[in-house]
Amino acid sequence: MLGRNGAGKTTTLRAIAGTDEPEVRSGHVRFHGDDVTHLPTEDVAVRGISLVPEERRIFPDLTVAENMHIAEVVRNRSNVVGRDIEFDRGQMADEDIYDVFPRLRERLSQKGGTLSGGEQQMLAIARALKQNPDLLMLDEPYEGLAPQIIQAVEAAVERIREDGTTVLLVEQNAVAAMNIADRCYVVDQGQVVFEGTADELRADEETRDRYLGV
Amino acid sequence: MSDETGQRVGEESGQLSAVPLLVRWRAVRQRESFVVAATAIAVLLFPYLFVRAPVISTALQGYQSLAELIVIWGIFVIGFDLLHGYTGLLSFGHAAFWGGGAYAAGVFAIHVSGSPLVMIAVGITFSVLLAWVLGFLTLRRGGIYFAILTLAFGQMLYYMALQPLADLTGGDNGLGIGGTAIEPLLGFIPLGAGIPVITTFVATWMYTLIGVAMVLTVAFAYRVLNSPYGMVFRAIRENEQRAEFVGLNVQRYKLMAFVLSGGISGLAGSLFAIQQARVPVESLFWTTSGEVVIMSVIGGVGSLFGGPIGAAVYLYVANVVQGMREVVLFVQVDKLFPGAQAVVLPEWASPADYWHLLLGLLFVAVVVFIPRGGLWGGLKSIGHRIGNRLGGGR
Repeated sequence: MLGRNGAGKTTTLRAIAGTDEPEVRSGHVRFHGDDVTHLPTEDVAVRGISLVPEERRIFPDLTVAENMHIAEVVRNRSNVVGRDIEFDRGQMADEDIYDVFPRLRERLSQKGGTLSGGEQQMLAIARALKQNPDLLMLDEPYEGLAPQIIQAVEAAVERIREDGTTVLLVEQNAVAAMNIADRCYVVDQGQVVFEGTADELRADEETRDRYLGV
Repeated sequence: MSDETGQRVGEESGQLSAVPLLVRWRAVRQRESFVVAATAIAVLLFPYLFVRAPVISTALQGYQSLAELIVIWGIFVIGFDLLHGYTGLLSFGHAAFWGGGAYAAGVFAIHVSGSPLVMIAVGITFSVLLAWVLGFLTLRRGGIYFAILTLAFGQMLYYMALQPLADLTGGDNGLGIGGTAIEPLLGFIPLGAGIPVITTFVATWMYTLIGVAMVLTVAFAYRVLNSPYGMVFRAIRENEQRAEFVGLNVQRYKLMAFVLSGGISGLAGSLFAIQQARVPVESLFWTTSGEVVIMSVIGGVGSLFGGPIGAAVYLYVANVVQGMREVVLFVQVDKLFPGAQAVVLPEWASPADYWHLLLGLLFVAVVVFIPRGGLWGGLKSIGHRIGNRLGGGR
């Protein structure tokens, strides 16, 4: 999902994730055929939608291992009791995740907050992956990262896509996003103004010029 | 400097935590035994050093009932810190659980049974149920709204005890339980009697009961904080919404933290009722909620042992320093250095009239100089520094 600052990209992700703000006033969010529009955030999450929000997406005072482990705690009885949710989805094995992010394996007992920006981003994605989501939403995952780190994160995202997980990537950096996207949506003032494959967007000079400035 | 060592440790033990959960659990258990043993020793030594040890106790002017009171409040602060320090919820109404537990235990002693252990059970049960209801009502809002709501409900309880329930609570006069209403421990051990073998240390069964409660509280709190529950508490403290994104039922965990915290506060409250043999109505007043906040900040927010240290310092200033009409420096110094004389400061230098100011200054100093760790954090970093020196700069 592409668009300028303030176009409504983050708002869309938050609406899907079911946060208190924005309040969804019209329309529905359907996932696997269920209406999840007004479900609490935590219930949306356990249905297989993981949002990696912008900036500082981890628990800085928890160790890397704890950050990962918390996704398992979600299945504990104490978290499930009294809630109308089912856990039929499997979990991704730690080893598979650390194969995608080998850096994390080396830093397991380090506090999340002491990691570099890129490592924190990897940890955030890794934790989301641990829940084996069907839809992984990444809000500006490349922001503030050094170019070679961006490449590493990009490679990871591509690998996740190849594993069959739907990735909804929000980016301001249109070029980087188009490189790995199957489909592109351009948003402006809360409306989808373009919808098509990455190649179609590349070919559509007017849309690119008008809404993305590239 | 500390970052550097942190990283090195992280790299070294990185592989270690990849080993199965069982091994990690064993490590936790080992640390737990250590923490519990250390607490037991501290609890055992504290009244001796404070009340009976030569020189130190004379200089400190400690006395047995204050030692008991300090440990009781220490339990209260631990309960409070479980909610504030670890889950990040600042309650300004914890007097409700402390006073509520005390009143429940006291009323039960007068009308049903004065067995100390049963009184404690009643006090805890009452506070847990109360916390469940109040938590349900107050936890919907966060931050300042939560603080104000808990304050309001706490005050509501105070006024209920003051007027409408005065027949039960004794109203303005507080609830006089009376020493005779409180039965001996297990039916045959008078709380005031000396305990064999370790009398030199703890003196009475009363203190032993309180001390055991403290050790159990620390063991319980430590277990909770190192369980997945504790991890979730910390995650919520750091970022509530992020915890929701992971799929955690944040509301429920917050309620659990509130209930646990209320229960421990109720335990402390019932011990208070037993020790004092009366419950002053002020124990429900908002100043009590304020005191526990101050103790917690002085001792160190988010640290198990900081709480009792904060309680000790606060109560020491409020009770001993308040009564210091004359300050004697180098008490009994002649015992160490024959011929040396103690120094008696002139009366205007007595801190008795300024004890509030002293506490205020101490509070400000802690907030300014050691905001994150409080006194406990300060002690720990001094310990680290000494350890680094001794360990050849490592």
